[in-house]
Amino acid sequence: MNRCKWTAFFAISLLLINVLTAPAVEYSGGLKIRYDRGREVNPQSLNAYPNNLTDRSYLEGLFTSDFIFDNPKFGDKLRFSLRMQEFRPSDMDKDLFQLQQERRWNDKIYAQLNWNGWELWAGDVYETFGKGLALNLFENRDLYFDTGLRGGKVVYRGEKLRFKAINGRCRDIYLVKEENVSGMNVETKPVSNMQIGAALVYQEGLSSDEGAAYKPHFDPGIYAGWNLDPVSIYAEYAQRREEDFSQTIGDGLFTSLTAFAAGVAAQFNYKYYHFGYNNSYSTPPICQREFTTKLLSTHPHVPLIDDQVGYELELSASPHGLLFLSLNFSQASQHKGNSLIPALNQDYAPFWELFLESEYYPRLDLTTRFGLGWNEEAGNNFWQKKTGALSEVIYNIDDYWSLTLLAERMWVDDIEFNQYHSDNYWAATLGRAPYGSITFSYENSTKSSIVEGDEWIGGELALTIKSQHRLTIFYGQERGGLKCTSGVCRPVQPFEGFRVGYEGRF
Amino acid sequence: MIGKAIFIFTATLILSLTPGFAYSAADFTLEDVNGEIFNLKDNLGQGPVLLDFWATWCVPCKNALPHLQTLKDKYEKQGLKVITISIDSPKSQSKIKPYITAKKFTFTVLLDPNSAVLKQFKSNSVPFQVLIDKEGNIIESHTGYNPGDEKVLEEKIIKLLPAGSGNE
Repeated sequence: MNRCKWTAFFAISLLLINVLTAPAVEYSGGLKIRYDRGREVNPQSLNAYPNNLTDRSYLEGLFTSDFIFDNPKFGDKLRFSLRMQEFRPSDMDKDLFQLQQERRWNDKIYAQLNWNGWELWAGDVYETFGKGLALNLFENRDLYFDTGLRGGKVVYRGEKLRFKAINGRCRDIYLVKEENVSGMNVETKPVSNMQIGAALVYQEGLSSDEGAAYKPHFDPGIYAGWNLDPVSIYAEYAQRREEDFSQTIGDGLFTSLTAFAAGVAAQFNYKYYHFGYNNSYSTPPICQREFTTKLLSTHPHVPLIDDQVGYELELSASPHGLLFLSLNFSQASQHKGNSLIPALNQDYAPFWELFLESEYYPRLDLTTRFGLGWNEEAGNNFWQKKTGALSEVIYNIDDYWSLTLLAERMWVDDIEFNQYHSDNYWAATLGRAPYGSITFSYENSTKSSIVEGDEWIGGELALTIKSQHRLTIFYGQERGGLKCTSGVCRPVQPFEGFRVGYEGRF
Repeated sequence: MIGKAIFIFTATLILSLTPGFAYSAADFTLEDVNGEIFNLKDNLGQGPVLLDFWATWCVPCKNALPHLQTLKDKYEKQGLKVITISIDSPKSQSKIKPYITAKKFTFTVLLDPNSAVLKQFKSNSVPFQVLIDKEGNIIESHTGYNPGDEKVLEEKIIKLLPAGSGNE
């Protein structure tokens, strides 16, 4: 038997002994279903709305089962988890994102053994080193993004020393190419308020060019954090190297300074990312607000992780218990030479945003929220200024009934094409705790788009049954846009029809 | 396989709707915002534990947090522990500490950047709350936030407190 088979034999034996000898077994299960039926915009259609609509049918079902064995023969706890998947993407998603209809009984499967501060994982695993400059693995099904590895990992968490090692292969799905990824992270805490860490990630995989293997690359990184209340600092630096580890392709730096004084919390984040190319396995902090208001966030600035310099300043304060204020300013651009600050020239895709927000609680039964945002973004044949405003009022009718009213407006100045338009969004939600809520929303634009029209009306019912079961039913129209998390974005096509969602735990 | 899955689902659904059904909380280990290690098992035994999964970008989550602070202030002496778990990814993780400090929240804040613990509790979205009794059984789990949810939660917390200590 080779080493791999011996390892598998040992792992399975350990698993079996533990399963057979554990005095207590617990089970938990979860089910998530989403079903869409209606029509969506075909971006390849040459027809104007609504003749560019095509039928949409989408089904996603995830059934997860966990078995937890307490106090087994070896170890403190053993968990065995299995997730089954039924996935039928729409025809449009198949075309746009190269998705396939799938039925996988072992979509996610893992065994996790905890033993004296150690965690041993075998199967589908995720991990983050530092703030993610070298490695950040996560799954976001809304984005069709999953960098989880099928392999294993070892984690040790001690008072002074922390250690993580991971190895596995990622599936080839949208935005993520199949790769073998290995990584190691060591972190020490010489004193309780300080952390110093180092990470090394090795990747090799298939490029999109018909299975041709591309050069393996290494991502070494270091980081340090120091918490000196009321001030704390953090810095992380990572490189991308190719060939025999000697050739540096690019690098990235993230720093953060946080301070509290006179009731004000201030934070300054700085990024300097020049990794050479995008790597799905490394998603560092993007240093900008990702969700401001619904309208301003529909087409957010997409940071280029391989070519971006910028900063973000956030101030927040609660002058008294009834009021909370926050200010966020961020600026970024592509690199202009070796400049350490963002450029303003259109050639370097500059972006800035200022967002002010307040929460005010004038009475026990009333919560209000106001926001104002301005941003400007330019690029190749593109230059827009946007101003957005939001107001939200939550009124508690009694202990259990509530009414939430939300109004937003956004003014868009398209400087490049000398056009001007505004968008509006209104939503009203009637809630009854703990059973659920019903929401009606209306959105319009003064600019009629040949792709998606100028009006969108929708309603959603959310029901909670026995607290573990949540059912949502949406019917109406949804505007298209970009959906982004951690700088990973995907376009969402305008949709009209109904959507049923269920999430339950057993 | 689909037939079997439907059978398992139906059986577990019926079981879960049975009065008195409770399942145990999965033990987990996470780091808090200061890098200290937190283990759920070590925090059981003294009273109920309320877990709240949230994120800095989630408005309903942030609407629920002041009520959690109120519950902590009110019932901490009777043994209630309020543990919030942020699923912020590394990109927004640094915003957590300024936010909770400015808001003067004093509950524990843990970090779950890959949503691994959220998934262990069979949830995919936030806000998500789990109420655990001192033996480690899950008494309540709830997705979403509507004003008034905290009242229902408080009623359930009171039932878990030592007799006579919760009716203030």
